Amino acid sequence: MPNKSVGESKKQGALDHCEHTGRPAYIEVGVTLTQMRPTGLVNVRVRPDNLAVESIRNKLGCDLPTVPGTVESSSDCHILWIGPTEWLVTMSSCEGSVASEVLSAALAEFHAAVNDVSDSLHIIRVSGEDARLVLEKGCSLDLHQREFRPGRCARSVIAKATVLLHQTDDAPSFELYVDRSYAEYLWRWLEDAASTLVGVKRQE
Amino acid sequence: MFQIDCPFCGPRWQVEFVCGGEAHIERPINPDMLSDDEWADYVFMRTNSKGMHYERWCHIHGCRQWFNAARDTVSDKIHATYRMGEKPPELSS
Amino acid sequence: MKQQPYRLPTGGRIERNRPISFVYDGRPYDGFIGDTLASALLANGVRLVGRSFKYHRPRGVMTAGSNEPNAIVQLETGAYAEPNTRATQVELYDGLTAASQNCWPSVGFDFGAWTSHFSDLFPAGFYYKTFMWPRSAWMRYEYFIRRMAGLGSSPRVPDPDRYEKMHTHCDVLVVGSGPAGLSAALAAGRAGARVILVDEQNEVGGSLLEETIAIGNDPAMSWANKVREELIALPETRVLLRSTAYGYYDHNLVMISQRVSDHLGLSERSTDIPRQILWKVRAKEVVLATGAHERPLIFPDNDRPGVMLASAARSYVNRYAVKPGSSAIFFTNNDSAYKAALDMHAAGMRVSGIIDVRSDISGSWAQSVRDAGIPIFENQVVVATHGKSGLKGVSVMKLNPSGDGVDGVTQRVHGDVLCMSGGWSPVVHLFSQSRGKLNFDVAKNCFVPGTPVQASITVGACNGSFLLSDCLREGFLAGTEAAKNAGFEAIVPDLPDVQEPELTEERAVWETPNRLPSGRGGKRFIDFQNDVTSRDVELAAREGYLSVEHLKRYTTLGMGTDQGKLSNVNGLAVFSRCTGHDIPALGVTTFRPPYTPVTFGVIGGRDVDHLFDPVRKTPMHEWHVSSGALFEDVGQWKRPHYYPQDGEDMAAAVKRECEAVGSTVGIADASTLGKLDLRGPDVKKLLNWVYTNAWNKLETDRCRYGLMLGENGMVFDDGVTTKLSDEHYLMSTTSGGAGHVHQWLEEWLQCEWLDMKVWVTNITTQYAVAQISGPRARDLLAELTSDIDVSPQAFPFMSMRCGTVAGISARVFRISFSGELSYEINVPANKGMALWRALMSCGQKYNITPYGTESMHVLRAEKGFIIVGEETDGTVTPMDLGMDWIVSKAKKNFLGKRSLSRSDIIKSDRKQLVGLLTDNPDYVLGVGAQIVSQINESPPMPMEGHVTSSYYGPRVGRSIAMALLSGGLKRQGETVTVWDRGNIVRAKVSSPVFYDRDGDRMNA
Ligand SMILES: [Zn+2]
Repeated sequence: MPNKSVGESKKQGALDHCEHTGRPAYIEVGVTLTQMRPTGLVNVRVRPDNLAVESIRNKLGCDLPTVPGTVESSSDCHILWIGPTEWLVTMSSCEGSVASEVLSAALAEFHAAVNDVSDSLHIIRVSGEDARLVLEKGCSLDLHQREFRPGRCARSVIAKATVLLHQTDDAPSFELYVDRSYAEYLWRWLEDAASTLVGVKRQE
Repeated sequence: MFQIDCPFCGPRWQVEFVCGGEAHIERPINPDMLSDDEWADYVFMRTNSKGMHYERWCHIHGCRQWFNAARDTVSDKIHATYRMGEKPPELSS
Repeated sequence: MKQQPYRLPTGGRIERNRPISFVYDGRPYDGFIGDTLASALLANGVRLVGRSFKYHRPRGVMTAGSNEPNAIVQLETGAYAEPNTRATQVELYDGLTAASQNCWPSVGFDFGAWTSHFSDLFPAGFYYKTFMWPRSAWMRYEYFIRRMAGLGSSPRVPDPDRYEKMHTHCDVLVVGSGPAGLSAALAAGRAGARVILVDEQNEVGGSLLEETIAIGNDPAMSWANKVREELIALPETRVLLRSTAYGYYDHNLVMISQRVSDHLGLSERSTDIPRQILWKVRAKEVVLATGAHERPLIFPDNDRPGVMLASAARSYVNRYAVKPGSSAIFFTNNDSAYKAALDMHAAGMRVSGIIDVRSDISGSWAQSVRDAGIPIFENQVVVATHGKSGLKGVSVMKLNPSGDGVDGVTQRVHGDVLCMSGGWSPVVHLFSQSRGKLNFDVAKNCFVPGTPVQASITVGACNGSFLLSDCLREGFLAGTEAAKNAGFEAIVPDLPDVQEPELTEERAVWETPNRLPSGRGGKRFIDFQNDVTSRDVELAAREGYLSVEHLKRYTTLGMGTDQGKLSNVNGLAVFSRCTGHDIPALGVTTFRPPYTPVTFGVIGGRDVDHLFDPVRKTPMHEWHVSSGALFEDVGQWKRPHYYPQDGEDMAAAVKRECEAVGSTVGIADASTLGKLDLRGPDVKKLLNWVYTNAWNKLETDRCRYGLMLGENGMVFDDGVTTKLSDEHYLMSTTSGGAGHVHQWLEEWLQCEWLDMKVWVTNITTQYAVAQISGPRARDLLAELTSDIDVSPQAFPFMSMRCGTVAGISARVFRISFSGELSYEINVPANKGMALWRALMSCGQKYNITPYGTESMHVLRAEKGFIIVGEETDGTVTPMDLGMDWIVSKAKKNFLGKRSLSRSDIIKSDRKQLVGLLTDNPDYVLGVGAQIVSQINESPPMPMEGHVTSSYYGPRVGRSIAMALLSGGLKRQGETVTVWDRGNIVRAKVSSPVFYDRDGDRMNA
């Protein structure tokens, strides 16, 4: 049985009415699905020249990752590479409006775009020894530990939803950033995918 | 389903991409100076090559970058992908 | 336990301690776990398993695998029914129910068999020739033909099973777990590569499952199982059994259909575990070890039940412990029949003799056969088979000295099984699908893989290597090489010792010589499933067919569910003889996926029911649901269509909603409209490029409507863009258009205008949007905001204000799609519901009325506002829409501009947007109704336009329509005729603006 925990949310989120379905599974599925509360999420567009990177480092204490598919992290912030001029900044200590003010200030001198996207993204955490198998039912990324590790991120497609995927630990745990309008679909899809791994799990 | 080597993200499956058709078609600088035929040539006419074909792809569900690819339309082998602004590699099919 | 008269007392790989029962054609039988349906039927002495497709001839089991043309059965009934399964591949389970197909009323007495007696009426191409005259009768013929040629019946109820899909990557994918595949997987697995070994059977082994030769010191299957255990113990290796690699696609993508629970009884299955899984495997390297299929020989009545492939007979004896009959006759051109004869002899079956087209047969196989006392009929052929519904014996004659005819007298050989072997065809299907070309190997009489086009290696019998030791050696080498190519250090494992006799040369024979020409005597089948005979191929050649692809379609050779696995090369050989072109020159038809049929269920996977497609919902969705809204699909979005009250129908609800907007205030959820954030010093420049109008003079906080054209001059999106500051704009797009427009802007910015400094960010779902519209909209807004001056002077039409609405930080746009005083209030999505509730509760005193997309469309149509995708269809220019006013004359350049002066675009008879007012003001035209210039009794009629939008307009009190009409802009006042679903309707051409032409209401 997959574990599903619904993160407490006082806000009006797209996932609020999704509940456990309690589907029986015939082999143990080692995965936990969790809805996480997004805090400050900011989309940043800028050319990553030295001055811009430095300015962000000074304000956030975190580097802007320039290697494709990587994440830089500090105590309360992750910066996820989306594209060569695009990042998602997550700040756990403040709301999106505050976070975007911080970043706007950091990039005031640059040709940059800073957008609060806290309300447009949901985060679903998929964690546990079978997390890869559950994701691979709908995702064509190679998530094998030889190819994908904690600190890596990738924007891709899971089932029929575009997702920014971030591996956070070796459990393994993946945090999926998904547009709010696709979040319910993705949650239900993940619940379904996590309900059985018969035939999918490698024979022991 | 192809596997396409995004010049930024590396090899990804075709579902993440959209194809934008033939590459290296420059927009005429002064469309007003062109005859109807010349303009139609830019807007409508494409080489539709059998063999090596240079085409534009966008990693729409990935890094959102447009880039170019040299694909053999007979074997569907993608011989090279390269970033916008880069010169196409010399290839023979 | 009932008797299984043909079951051998010992041996085989069946589980004798697990007896099970099954039902075939309504009769109960017994078998064992480990049987296939075919082996269990044979064990029970059931030899007649079907009727052929065209002539309805009785047929028996011919093979022991995926190449079976005859034993095609309907499995189960009701929801679990599955037609066209091969009994030779169906694993027997307790309670299995199956029925023969293609016969009515029963397999023993078949009504359609009369066709056999009139077979001259059914030559090659008979569909084309016979049933095309008179043309009008084809429908009647087709009904009967389809009934008679029915390939089973599909279930009529939803599929109860669960199906899954998996995406996976590996270093080395090995297809086939025979000796070559096992060795390849072992070599690559030991190197540490990620290996997937896939096999269609329920256990590894392939040909080893019926092999009697030892590998090293072990029986062959002990070796195979040791390898399997070692592979399973490796952490990065996976063995997929009951899994068919059915398609080899571009860039080393191999599709595999895994049957997870097909072998379980229906009571053991569950909707919570998958029946089948579709694996999409992207492999760095592929090793094809797909084996080979034995070929039949072509001779008269070679389809009689009891005639089977020698290898199949061997498989039934060795693997399933089943005697395919009581006494066996062999007919061959190569050594493999000798192996089978010896195994059957060893199992205690009577072997009447081996008829071999070769002469002076020597070699150790022949020696062993002679030692066993089995007679060999050298240099002889079978010229006839005997027995009515089952084989009783054959007639044999000597070949003449030149080998192209027969001599002397016929001799009768008795037996109830005829085991034939015409040599072997490598299973090159996957290789061919990978776009590899095939070469004809003249020495081996078969097509073998040529140079691979993708990263693949072929090994073993698939490569034309038929000796066990060669299979092992090639497998080890290929596995090692594949692992190396994938970046691993690998060493070739030591080759185990294999003692096997050398093979003697095979003699190339296809259709064996006979005393009668091919049209006489019994039918000589090439394609058993499709009833194609050598005579059909001769006829096609005589009629001038030269290409094998044409031959295939004309004769239907190789077009059945078996895809010509048995018939392909034999058909070519006969065609080659008839045309005088040799086989390599003729080439082969293209092998296409799937290798064996794949269920629709597994192709669909979990994309069913609520997971079929994402349903996108706005932040206020739950409110709409609880308020009784009915929804409309707009792309993937669910939008409220209308909100019926107290049994209202749509017309009544829409009328009420529109009247509320016209008289007090309505509220609509506009969250789905696309929103693109544009930033940078060059935004204005970008807007001037992508919109037809000029953007230089737009002031901060003001909004402007724009039309976007493709380079062909055709409208592809529209929307309002607002200037937030000098370097910051917000562009709105149509619902669902944001992605497309975003991509369009990025394409130009990234590919053409690399210097332009603009960032585009799609922020559509960051905001919830409530649209309030109607004469009381201002009063309502005023009550909920203290920091926005809503007076008409302070907040004019087409402007934007930031402030607080209902305590929520908001951007308020005064724009209108309804033609009334209207505001669009944008707040962060998580606050959308709070905003909506505040507006509803505060608006109560104005009788605030929620309205849906239908009313939105009615309101905008009354105003003559276009909708991209309704009034436009990719062939409509701004001029066609009468919107010249939005096309800047001053701008030198913008996307699509040059196209607007192309000769075709400036023609005066183009279809142009007009309004239509029907003579009867209550008649609402159908969308798509055609405006015709002449009425005929029935279509076709000369068409000059069509209706694009049509509604009853509550605010104008009559029906209204918009239409694209040839030369319409100059035809105002004219009366036109509309052909509308059979009605002839008269309508007057008018302006498409029906309501408040001067815009006083929305400007108020
Ligand atoms: Zn990319």
